[in-house]
Order: sequence, then C-alpha cells, then structure tokens
Amino acid sequence: MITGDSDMNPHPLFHSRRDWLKTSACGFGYMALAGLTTEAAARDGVLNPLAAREPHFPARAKRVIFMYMRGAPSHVDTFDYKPNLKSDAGKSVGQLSGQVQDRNRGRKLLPSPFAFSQHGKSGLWISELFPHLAQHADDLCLLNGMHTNVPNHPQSCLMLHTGEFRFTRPSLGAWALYGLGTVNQNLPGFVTLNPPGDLGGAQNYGNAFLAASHQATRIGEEGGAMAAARIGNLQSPLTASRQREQLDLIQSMNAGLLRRQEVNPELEGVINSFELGFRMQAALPEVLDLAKESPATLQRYGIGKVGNNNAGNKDKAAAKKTAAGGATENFGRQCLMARRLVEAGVRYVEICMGNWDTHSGLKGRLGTLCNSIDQPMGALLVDLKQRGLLKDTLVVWGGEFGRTPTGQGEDGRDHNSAGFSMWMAGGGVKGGQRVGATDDHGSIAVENKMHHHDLHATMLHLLGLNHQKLTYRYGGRDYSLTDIHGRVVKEIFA
Amino acid sequence: MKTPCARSAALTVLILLTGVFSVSAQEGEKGIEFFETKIRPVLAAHCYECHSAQSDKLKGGLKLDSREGIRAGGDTGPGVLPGRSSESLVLKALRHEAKLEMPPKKKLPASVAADFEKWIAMGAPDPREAGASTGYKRMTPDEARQFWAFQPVKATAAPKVKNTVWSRTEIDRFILAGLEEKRLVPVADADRRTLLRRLSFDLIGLPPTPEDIAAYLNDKSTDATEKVVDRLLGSPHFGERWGRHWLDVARFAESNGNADNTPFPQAWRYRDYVIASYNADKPYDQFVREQIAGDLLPAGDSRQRDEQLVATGFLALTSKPRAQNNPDYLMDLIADQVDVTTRGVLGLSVMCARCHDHKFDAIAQKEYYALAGFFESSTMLAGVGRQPNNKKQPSGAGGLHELSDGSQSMGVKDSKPTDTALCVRGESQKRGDRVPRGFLAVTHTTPVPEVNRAQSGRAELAKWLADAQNPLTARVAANRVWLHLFGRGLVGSADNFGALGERPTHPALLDHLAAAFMQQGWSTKKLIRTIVLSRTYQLASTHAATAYATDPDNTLHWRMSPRRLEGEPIRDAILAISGKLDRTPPGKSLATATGNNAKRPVYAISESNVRSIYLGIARGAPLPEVLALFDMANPNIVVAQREVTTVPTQSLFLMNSPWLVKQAEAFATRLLEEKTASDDARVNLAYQMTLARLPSSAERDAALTHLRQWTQTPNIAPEKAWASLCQVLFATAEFRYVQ
Repeated sequence: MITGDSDMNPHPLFHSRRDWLKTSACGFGYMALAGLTTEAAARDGVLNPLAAREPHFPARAKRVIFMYMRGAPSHVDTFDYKPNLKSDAGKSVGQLSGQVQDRNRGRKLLPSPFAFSQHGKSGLWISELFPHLAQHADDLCLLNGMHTNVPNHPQSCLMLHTGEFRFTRPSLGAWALYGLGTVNQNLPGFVTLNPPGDLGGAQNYGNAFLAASHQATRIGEEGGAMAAARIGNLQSPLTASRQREQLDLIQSMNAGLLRRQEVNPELEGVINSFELGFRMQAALPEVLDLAKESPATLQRYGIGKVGNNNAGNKDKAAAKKTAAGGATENFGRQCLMARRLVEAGVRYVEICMGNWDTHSGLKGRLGTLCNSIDQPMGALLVDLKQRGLLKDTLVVWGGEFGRTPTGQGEDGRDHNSAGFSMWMAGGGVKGGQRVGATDDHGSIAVENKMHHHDLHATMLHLLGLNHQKLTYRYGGRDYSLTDIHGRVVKEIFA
Repeated sequence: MKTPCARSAALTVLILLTGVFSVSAQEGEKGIEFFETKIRPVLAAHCYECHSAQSDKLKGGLKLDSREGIRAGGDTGPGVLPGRSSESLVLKALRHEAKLEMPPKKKLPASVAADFEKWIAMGAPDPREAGASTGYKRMTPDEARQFWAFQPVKATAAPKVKNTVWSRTEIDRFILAGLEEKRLVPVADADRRTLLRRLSFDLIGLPPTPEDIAAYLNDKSTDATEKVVDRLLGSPHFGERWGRHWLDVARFAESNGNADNTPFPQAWRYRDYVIASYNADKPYDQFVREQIAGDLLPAGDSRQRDEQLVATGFLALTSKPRAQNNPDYLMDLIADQVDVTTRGVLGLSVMCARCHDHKFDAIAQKEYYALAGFFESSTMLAGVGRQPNNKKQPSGAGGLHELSDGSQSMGVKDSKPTDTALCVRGESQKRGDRVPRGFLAVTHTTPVPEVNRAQSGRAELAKWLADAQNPLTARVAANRVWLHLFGRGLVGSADNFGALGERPTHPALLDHLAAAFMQQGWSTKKLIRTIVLSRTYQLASTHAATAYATDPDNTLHWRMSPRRLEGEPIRDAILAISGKLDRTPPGKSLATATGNNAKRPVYAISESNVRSIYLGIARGAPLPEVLALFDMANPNIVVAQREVTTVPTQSLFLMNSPWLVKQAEAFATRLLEEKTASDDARVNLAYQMTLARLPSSAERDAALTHLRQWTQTPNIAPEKAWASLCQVLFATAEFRYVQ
C-alpha cells in the first residue's frame, strides 16, 4: 500500500522502465515480453504507468462518472429549494458584496417557475424537473454550498476540471489515473464523451505535465450526436498476428529512439499509446456497442434505435419515436456508455450536457434540458445499483457554477459563482442528505461552503487518495491538484 | 455564453489613464472638478450612511458611492441618467418630487439641487471606482507603466559571457549568459542530417529529399548552411508553412459556423493573400496595416488595391452568432474584431473589458469601447456573393468587396463614423456614454495618432498597431517566430503578454530580436534567417542529466527540444514521400457546401492531395482527419500556440487508416521502381526519405527480416511487404518529431 510521497513519485517507475529499455537486447520485440498484451505483465507497473495501484488508504470509490453540465445550471430551479424567492419576489437581493452584488444589482428576485416537493424517506426537496431522478432521492447527497472564484465560463470550467485557470494543469481525471492507474489495460483509463470544444477544450481532460497516457480519450464533441461519434480507424486491414509484427517493428524503432534520447516522457507516451491503441481495437467496439443491451434497457435510458439491435416490432415502433430527435437520446447514450465503460474497468468517465447558460428563456430551456437528462440519470442509478456498482462508483453532477436568484430580464438568470449546487451519489457518499447551504435566496453559499478545490480534495479522498500527498514533481516543484487549497468535506461520507 | 468574459466584479468606469480620450479630456477635467467640489461632499455628508458599500443597512438597493452605483440606481430605477436631469431620480428625491424625499428628514437647499441639475446636464462626470473585489488584484496604471511588456522596446548589447568561443551570433551570447548563470553548458551541435531535416520542416513544412541531403553533405564551403537556409526561405512552400501559423491567429475558416453555418466561398482569397505575403516577405507592419485598414490605405495600382481589400478579410472571417433575438448581435461581432485585433496583433486580451474594467490588466472598459468604435464605424462584408452555379442565396448574408477583375472578396469597409456607447456590464440594452474612438493607454505611442473622425478611424488604428513605438507588436511577432522555431516562445504564453501571462525567460533577447526585426524593415524572413543561423538553433536535441535536472522544460535552451510536427507537415510529408503531393496551389476553396438548406449546408471536404493549408476548413464540420488528430487549431478562436497531445486515436490512425495504407503503398511502389537497387539500398533510401538518415545495421536487419517474414508467407506480394515497411516508417515517433 502506498503511504507517502516517495512512493507516489513516478520517477522510479520511469527509471526502471528506461533501464529496461536500455538493457533489453537486440531488436526489442514487445511480443517476447508478452507484456503489454497480457494483463499480468501490464499490471506489474514496470512497463506501464497506468497499471492499477493501491490507494493511500482504503478507497470508498473505485471509479468515477462525472456528469458535467456545461454552461452553469440554475441551482434555485433544480436542487436548492428557496421558498423565500416566492415570498420576496420582485424585491432586490439585499446587501451583498463583490460579484454577487454586481450581478444582482438593479434586478429583482425571480421565483422559480418550477415547483419543488419532498422525495424519499429523507424528504429531500427536488424540483419537478427531475421526476425520475427524484425517485433516487435517498441516494443523492445534494451539495448546496458550492462556490468558486470566477463567474465566467472559461475560467470556471478549467477550475472545475483542473483546479486552476491561469496555467495548464492536469485534469482531475488525469490525477485519478495517476494515483490509481486503471484495471483494464485494454481500454483507456480515462474517457470523455462529447466534451466541449471551447472553455479550455482539451485542457479540461488533458494530462499537462503528467505522462501523456494520463489524458482522456475523447469520443465525440459537445453539440454532436453521440450516436454518430466514432473512434476512427479501429478496424485493422491486417490479421492480428500480421499487425502485431508490424507494430513490433514500429515499437522497436520507437524504443531505439528513446534509448538514444535517454529521457523523453512524451515519447514514452507515444509508445504506450500504440499499445493501448492496439488493444482498443478489440476491446472498445465491444464496450461501446449498445446493441448488446436489451431493448428494455435502451428504452429505460430513453435511447431510440441502435444499429444492430434485434428489437421486436413493438419495440421498434417505440424506438422510432424516440430516435426521431428524442430528447433523451444523446444523454441516454452517454449514460449507458458510461455504465458500460466503468463496468469494463475504466477508472474515470466524464459525460457532458451543454447549453445551461440560461440568461434568457429560463423556463422553456431548463425544462427541455432537464427533461433530456432526467430519465437517463435515473436509469443509470438503477443499473449501477442492480449491478452492485453504485456502492463504489462515485457519480457526480454539476456545472462550473450556478445562477443568480434575481432575474435577468423576465425569464433568465445571470452567472453566479458565489453559491450553487452539485450532487453526488454512490461511491461511499451518504445519500438522502444535503450538505452546505446558500442564504435565503440562493445568492451565496453560507453554510458548510465547498469550493471547487474542496470538491477535488473530497473526490480524491473518496478514491482513497490524500490530495496533499498525491503530488508530481515538475520543474523543481511538487504539484498537486488542489495546490495549497482543498478541504475534505467528511460530512458527505456514508 | 452571452459574453466571453466575466461580467462580474467592480464596474469601475474610471478615467484611469489621462490622455486616452484626448477629445474630451479637457472638458472631462472640468466636470470632475465640479463633481469633487459640489457633488461628492453632498453625497458623502448626506447619503452614504444608507447608500454605500459601507452602509450597515443598505436602503433601496441603492449605492451612491460609485459612478456605477449612482447610475444603475436601486429598486426604483436608475439614480442618474447623464444629460437628463429632469428624469434623474436622485434629483427628484432632492427636490422631494414624485413621492421621493431624500434625505428623509430634511430637504437640502435649492442650491444643492441646482448643482446636481447642472452636474447631470454636464453628463454626470464621475471619477469614482466601485469598491468590490474578486480577490484578484488588478494592475494599477502605475504598475502598468512599470510592467515589462509595456516598456518601450530597448535593444541592448548582448551580455558578457565567460566562454568566449562558443557563440556564433548575438543570440547565442544572450542564451549562453542565461546558461552560465545556472552553471549549465549547451550540448553539442546537431549533425548535418538532423539540422537539414529540422530546417526543412521548420521553414517549408516538408522533409528534405535524398538529393537535398546529398547536396548539403557534399557542400564543403563555409556557408553551406546559409545556402540551405536561403534556398528554403526562397521556396514558394515557405508561405504555405508560415502562412498557416498566421491563419491560426486569424481564426481562418471557410464557413460561419454557429447556428447559421453559411459558407464563406471567398475566404480562400484571404488564405492565398496570407501565403503570398509571407512568400513576398511583406514587411510585417504593412501586413498588419493592410488587414486592419487595407481599404483605406493608398494603393499604387488596382492589383495592390485588390490585395489590400482582400487583406481586410481578417476582420470578417469570424463566426457570427445568429442575429435574430440577439440584441447583442452587433456588439458580438465587434467583440470578435476587437479580440482578433488585440490578441492577434498585441498579444493582449482586451475582450474582458467588454463588460467591466479588465480584472488584471490596466485596460478600462472605456478603452474597449474606444476600440469598438472603429468597428462600429465599419461594415463587415461576409456575404456569399455571386455563385457560378447561380444557387439560391441565403438572405441577409451581407456584401462583399468588388475587385478589379470582377471577382469578390470578404472584408470590411467604412460606414457612418460613430463612437460606441459603452454597454453597462456588457449589455447592449444598457448604454452609457459614447466613448470617443481611441487606443489603449498601456501601449502608448508618441504621438498618439489623431483619429480621422470623418472616417472609421481604422487607418489610424492600423498605424497605431504597427507603429515601431508600440511596445507589443514587434515583441509579440518576434516571440511567435521564436515559438515556431523552438516549440516554446521566449514568452511562454504567446497570446497573452498581460499580467496573467508568463514573463519572458530572456527579456533582453526578446527586445534584441524585436528591435532587429523592426530595424530590418519588419522582415520575417530576415528574422528567421538570423535565428536559424544561431548556434542555439543548431544545437542537438541530446539529453544531458545535469541540465535536465535543473531545467527540464529547456527554457534556457541548453539543447534543441524535440518537437512533434503539426498535422499539416505530417500529412504533407507523407504525401511528398509517397510521390502523391500536388504542389500546385488550387486557387480556390476546397470546402463544398451541399444540401438544400442554404443557411445550414452540409460541408464536404473534397479529397485532395494539395498541401494541407489549402484543404477546406468549414466550421462545425469535421476537420481534415490527420489535421484534427494532430491538434489543429480550433478555427473559432485566436490560437497563437497549438496543443500537443499524444493519444491512442493517433496510433490507430497510423496503424489502420486506409488513407495512410494507400500512401504507404504508393511509397513502396516508388521504392520498387528503383529497378537496379538492392533491397539494402531500398531500405537505405526509405530511411533517407522519411527520417533523413541511414538505418543502423540492426535497423536494416530488422527491416529486411520484416520483409522476409511477409514475403515468405504465401499470398503476400512483395509490394505489400514493402508497403508495410513504409507504413512502419510513417508510423514511427521519429518520423513525426523533429529532433
């Protein structure tokens, strides 16, 4: 078990790997190692920086599904019930400071157009926008005291994903992979489905200074149809053994270059990416093939037609209905793929839904958006639970910040980074509770405040990693995800 | 997203920097004096208790202790409407009109109300800054004046160095001094093959041919490298390599993207203009001026006039948001133009000041609107234009420039000159004062050009941008040249020279280069020539343990950093080696819009073997595969430096792409056409063509073994076996890295 800094330092690993590359005799030959084609050798960690590793302390969560809501969803219309908004409708927000004051200045409190009610044994207040998810109220831990620095999408998107917006830093998923490795060496350890192309783009799922193999494999791009998203070139024109011969020759030349250059982490990333690519050819189509799921399952996720599914006529008719621009189609696919990926051993999966930036058209747009994610999220929680995966799979939902309780125009809300909500489920989190709170109107977090940094520290903790000890030495300094910040919010633990 | 930058925090609309707004400066001073003597004391004595940031209990949501607060007002509406005394609630309250009685217990003398009336009629001049803060510190004007990037470029002599024999050029002495300070020594020089491959990719984006290699190796003259450099700089492929760097900055694309993805069928003329400008080594200051104000500059003949009109496409290639239901539409367009101008040319992010004073840099919101006025006084020409096939035109697409040969181009032209009214919090519906067109104070030139108020003023904007005294323009340009030759700029943040950007690793060298650049007529080719002939550029990329431990990022340049090629040179090199590269510029667009919906067409990227820079780039459509896989710049944003990712999808492409297999087969055919050659010689040739070196004997053996393995199996033709070997060479890391 890894207990301290020195053990987490990746350099010994690279040194031994390099030494091995140096000393390995003629011709190289990955085949001879049987190495990267078998899990056993891959797991030994000598060859592979992604080999599964023990955490610092027993983990509550072994894997993560992060649902990123790009554009900052309104908390006061979803998971942060504010009855005072109704009684104080039309009033100003009162004396606040900084950006909160600026954003609300001259604006009137706007009650939520959506009704809230209590759900589950716990009686959590949840908006009518989430009828499916609300059935899992007792599994949800609402984080109502979230806050972050900048009420501005690009900065806060990067902050949420990397803990920093001024400099390029590894993404949360890359850190998780760095700390824990991944259990299935035939799949990427970190996958992102339909991520935004802007707001920092690839930096949000990048490795920064960590080894290149820690960055996410992207499938699709936000705005595109998940059904059409492909990883190209998965089909080899050669037989497996011929291709392996070819790849061995490529890798022997790569290894030769690395021997000549002595140290080159980027090149090690290239070598790893070839092996991963090779194995992905077989493994990934299998995992992403939703035709393997029953029509009933697809329907539960709100997914319409799937390529090869052998649905009966009745199901086909139903499927056709949803396939024709079915609201849940895109996110349903993402949720189901996420389940299949974590089931197959992928460590960290991020999925994404955009367009929450409701400066106007709040009522209509929020209704549409929530409708498109609610049923799939409910189905995902059901599936994870049925498979016994929810107990150690951490599901996280949220955007880069929240929105103002005052109206922007008649039917919109402005950015608000001083108070907003996220939620977690599974992965050692105690459900049926809310942790943290905003003030009477939802303007600012006032109780058990949880910054993006605290979220990161807490998520790493759930994964069995000490956020202060998970460091990487780069350019003479030890870097960590949370830098000098971060508080583990233990109140949320089961 | 409604606006690109934070719309939070202190809305500090202060007149920060004297002299910025020369037109109103004198009047402004008088007004402020009036405010300070007649207005502020009244507010402080009678109002702040209940209406300020410090109030224990703020009344009516009204804060009178900032300019923004008094204007925005409170629950009952705006407090002061500049120029409209009778409608201003503050005045009504002082006069106890409209059921407003302030201060609550006593009515102030009528003379006070008269002062307020006069002050509001003057436009309510007010120098106060709001007190709120986000916790990030904004640069003060004083700090800005001290900040490195805003200092005038100052050429200094290269520092003294201990090792007096190593340096070949001035650049080397700057670099060596930095290394000596850390007690580091540079590694050995690169061998000729490595250097030739590096030069060839860096300057023209193509690998050297075996003939190029032989010629260089056999040239024993002392200026052999100079000859190579001059040959490459003179190649028409130079513009295709360096023009692409600029197209990244210019967020070049051939369709609008966004909700209405109309095509830009004439955008290619701008692309070709950029390539031609780099090939002609057009002085960079002129290059900038043409793109900002080509339509307003004098032209000697119709050819030059056309060229300058095409250049203004720079300001029109943006991805426009949908106009319907978007009150911010015009301001959104202008925001892009301000951004591409400031970040593109000055390396400064000014866009943040659209909604508020810049959080970190000393750029006031007013200054943003001073710049915006140049573009509000101009019309964007981003139309579809006449189509050869007479297809239905999308409505409202805007016009185009008419060129002398009857063709058309995108661009901008002057419209009615106007100053832009400041948008409070960036909201177009909430307008403040009109801000006279003007420039950023932090990058002052002396004298500040006088804006021609009868025109848009872009001519003066262009002049100010490309002025030798502008501290940023030459520095930013020189830094980008360095970036493209070393993989990292002397300023690491190539598109942010502001407070949040990185500081230069070698400030004196950067100034030396910027000064030399300007002295040599803003010649990009001369600057490149100077740099690549330095010993620093010609270092090997070998590892050195001590230096690596101290400086793993190689910011001190103890070696040449190995660099991954961009998608364009990877693809172009593969085509060059397979013999399939079509070196003729197509002289047209290769992005084809199809489908019935003119506003939302489907884009097809025609398969073509032309150089990558000519491939069709339509927003919202898939980018050409190799380019997308190897981190092509996002055509929606200004990109000074691309990312470098290493992902398995790249490996899958190299293993399985039908396109790559086809190129490998063509390459194999070329090798096999060498009828008289032995297999040994063919392997040597293949290595020379792809890696510019000969294989080691172990490598040659491995290659021959691979061929034998494959040909000894029944049904595998020698062509296939050779194609496999060729594909292996394309797939190696060595092929896509320059060492």
